[in-house]
Amino acid sequence: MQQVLPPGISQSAFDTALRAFASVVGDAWVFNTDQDRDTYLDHFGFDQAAHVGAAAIAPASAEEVQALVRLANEHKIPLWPISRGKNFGYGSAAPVLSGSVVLDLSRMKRISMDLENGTVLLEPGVGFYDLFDYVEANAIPYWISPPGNAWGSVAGNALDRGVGYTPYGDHADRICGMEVVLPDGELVRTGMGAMRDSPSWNLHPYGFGPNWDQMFVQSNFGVVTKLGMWLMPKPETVVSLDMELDQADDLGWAIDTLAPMRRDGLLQQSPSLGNWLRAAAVLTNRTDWYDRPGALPDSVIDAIRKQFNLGWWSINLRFYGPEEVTTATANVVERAFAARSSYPMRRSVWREGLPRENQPFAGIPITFPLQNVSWHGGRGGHLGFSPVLPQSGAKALAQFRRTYARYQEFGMDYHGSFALAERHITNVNQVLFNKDDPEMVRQVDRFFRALVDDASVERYGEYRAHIEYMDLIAGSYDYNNHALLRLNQRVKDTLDPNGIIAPGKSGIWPGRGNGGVI
Amino acid sequence: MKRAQTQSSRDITVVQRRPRQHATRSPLQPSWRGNASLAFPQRGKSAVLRLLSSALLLCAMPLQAQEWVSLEKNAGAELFGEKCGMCHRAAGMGTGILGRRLGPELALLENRADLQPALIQSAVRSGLGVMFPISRAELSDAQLGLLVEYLVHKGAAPEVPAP
Repeated sequence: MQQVLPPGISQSAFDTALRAFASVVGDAWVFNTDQDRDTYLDHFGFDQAAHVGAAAIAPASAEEVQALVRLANEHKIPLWPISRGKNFGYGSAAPVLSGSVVLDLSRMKRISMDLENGTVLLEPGVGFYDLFDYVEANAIPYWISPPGNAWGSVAGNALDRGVGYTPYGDHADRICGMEVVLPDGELVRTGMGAMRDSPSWNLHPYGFGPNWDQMFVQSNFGVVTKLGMWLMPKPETVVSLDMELDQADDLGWAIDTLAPMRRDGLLQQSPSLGNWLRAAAVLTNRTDWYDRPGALPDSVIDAIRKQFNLGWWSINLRFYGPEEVTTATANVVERAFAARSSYPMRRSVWREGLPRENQPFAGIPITFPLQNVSWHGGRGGHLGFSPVLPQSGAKALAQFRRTYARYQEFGMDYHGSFALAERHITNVNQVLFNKDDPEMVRQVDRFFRALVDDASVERYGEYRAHIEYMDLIAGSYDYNNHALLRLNQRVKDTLDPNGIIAPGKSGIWPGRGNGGVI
Repeated sequence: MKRAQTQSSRDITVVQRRPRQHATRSPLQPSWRGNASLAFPQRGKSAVLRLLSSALLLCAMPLQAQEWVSLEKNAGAELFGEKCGMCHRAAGMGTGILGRRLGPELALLENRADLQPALIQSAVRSGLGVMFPISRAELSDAQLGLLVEYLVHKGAAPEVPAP
C-alpha cells in the first residue's frame, strides 16, 4: 500500500519525524515500506484503503513509548497504538485516521506473575497464547480467559472490552491497575500503583481518589504500557450442561430462564445462545449447501441442523469449583429448564487428570472458530455488530426477529448469538462476507447501517465498534445533544491538545471540545 | 528486595518452546456443543522448561517475587510453533481452511513438500486468502528466513540472536 501522509504534514516533515522516531527505537524498528503498510491493514475489513497507516514504529519499553509520544507532539504526527493488532472484526491493526503512524507495542511481551494472589502484570504485546504457555509450562494453578479467537493481546482485548467464557470473562472488569503514558509523555500508574513500590497495585483496583482505569478503556487518552489482571484459580471441576433448542422462538423463554440464575450468581460465566451457522460455517463452505444468492432458505437450515445435530440455538453452560458445588448447581439449573421444556441436557464433568475441553470455557486459546470467514469462499471478511439490550426474553426475541428480517432482506446468512452478562444481553452478530464479491461488499455497508439504525430506534447501542463505524456508533449515544461525547472530547483536548493519540478512536476527535460533535 | 527493583533491573530472558499440539496428533474437532474435546497438548521436558522452572521458583517467593520473564524466541523450528502453530497445527484456523480448500493432504504445512520460499514469504507479508499478514515487528525478516528454511527443508534451523 502506498504511503498516505498524516493530514497537513509534508513528505519532508514526515521523513524528519520518522528519523526522530528511529533515534529512539533504532532503524530496524521503523517500518516504512509499501509491504510494511500492507501488514497493518484491516485484512478482514471491506475497505482496506480507507484506513492506512503511514508507517509503523515498534518500541520495546515504556521509556521508548514516552520518548516517541513526546516526539509525536513535537512533529504533530498522530499515533495509532496497537497491542498485537489482532482486533479482527473491529479493524485489526489499522487506524481510524489514515496517515496515522501505527505505534506497534507487540515487542513488549513481558509477564510478571504474582502466584500467591493470582494476578499478572502484562505488557501489551503478551498474547493469549503467550500467557497460556507461560501458565501451563510453569504449572501455575490459574486459568486464563481467552476470547473466542485468541491471536490477540490479553491487555489489548481487555482494553477494547473483549469478553471470554469463564467466570472471568468480562475482561475489562478484571483489570486491576495500569501503567499509562499520557499524551504529553508523562508516565502514570493507576490505583494503588500511584504509590511507589506498592505491593497492592494489582490487588485493589481503586487506590485513593478517582480511579482512572476505565478512562483508558476504548479511549484515546493515553498509551497503556502495563496492565494488571486477575486470573481465575484453577477449578477443582468443571461441570458442563449443553442443550439444543429446536425452535427459533425458544430464545425468549430460555433467556428468561437463564437471566435470574445469572443475576443471583448460580451461573458464574456468561452463557451464549448461538445459532446453527456457528458450527456450519466453521466446518463447511456455503457452496456445500446452497449455490444461489440470498439468505439460506429454511430447507437448507434444516439440512445443516440435521447434519450437525444442532438446534436452532445451542446453549453451553459451565460451572466451576468443588464437585459438591458444581454438581448441586447444575442440578438446580437442570430443574429450572425441565420446568420450561422437554429438551434434553447433556452433562459432563471435567476433573484434574482428564483432558480439558479444547475451548475457551476451559481456559484454552483457540483460533478455529474464525474458519467461518471462509464460509462464502474467496478472501473472507467479517464485521462485528453487537448491540446491548436489557435482559428480557421478549426484547431479545424481538431483536432477533428484527435482525433476522434484515439478514433476509439483504440476502445475508444469519450468524448471531445472545450472551447473558449479569444484567444485560450483548447480541453479537458476526457479519460474514466475501471480499472478492463486490456486490456483497457493497451490501455489507448498507446492511450494517440498517442494523445500527434499527437498534438505535430501540435505544440499543453497540458495546464495541469497527474503526469504520466509530463515529456512527458514538453518534448514536445522543443523550442531551451527545453530552458524553462532548465530555470525552473536552477531556481529549485537555490531555492531548495536539491530538496525537489515536484520533477518531471511539468517535473521539481532537479539536472538537468546544465545537461540533460529529 | 523491593519489587520495583526486581522489575527494572533483573529481567530474565528465556527462550521458550511452544508446547502446542503436533500437527499429526489430532483431527479437527470443533466442539461448539461442548461434548467433543481435543487432548491437551503433550509437553516435553527441555532445557527451556527447566529455565522456566527456575523463573517460577523466583516467582514462587512472596511478593518480592514478581520477576519479569521475557518471551522472545529465536530458533527457527520453535518459531513455527510460536508464530504459526496457533493456525497451522492441528485444530488451527489455517489447517481447517486449507483442508476445506485444498484437501486434507495439504492442510498441514509441516507435512508438505511443495512449499516454495516465495510463496511462504508472500503469504506471511501480504496475506493469502483469509490468512492475515504478519508485520516485521511480530516476525522479523531474519525470523521469516528461519521459518522458510524450516518449512522448505524441515532441517534443524540454526539459532540466531534476536534482532
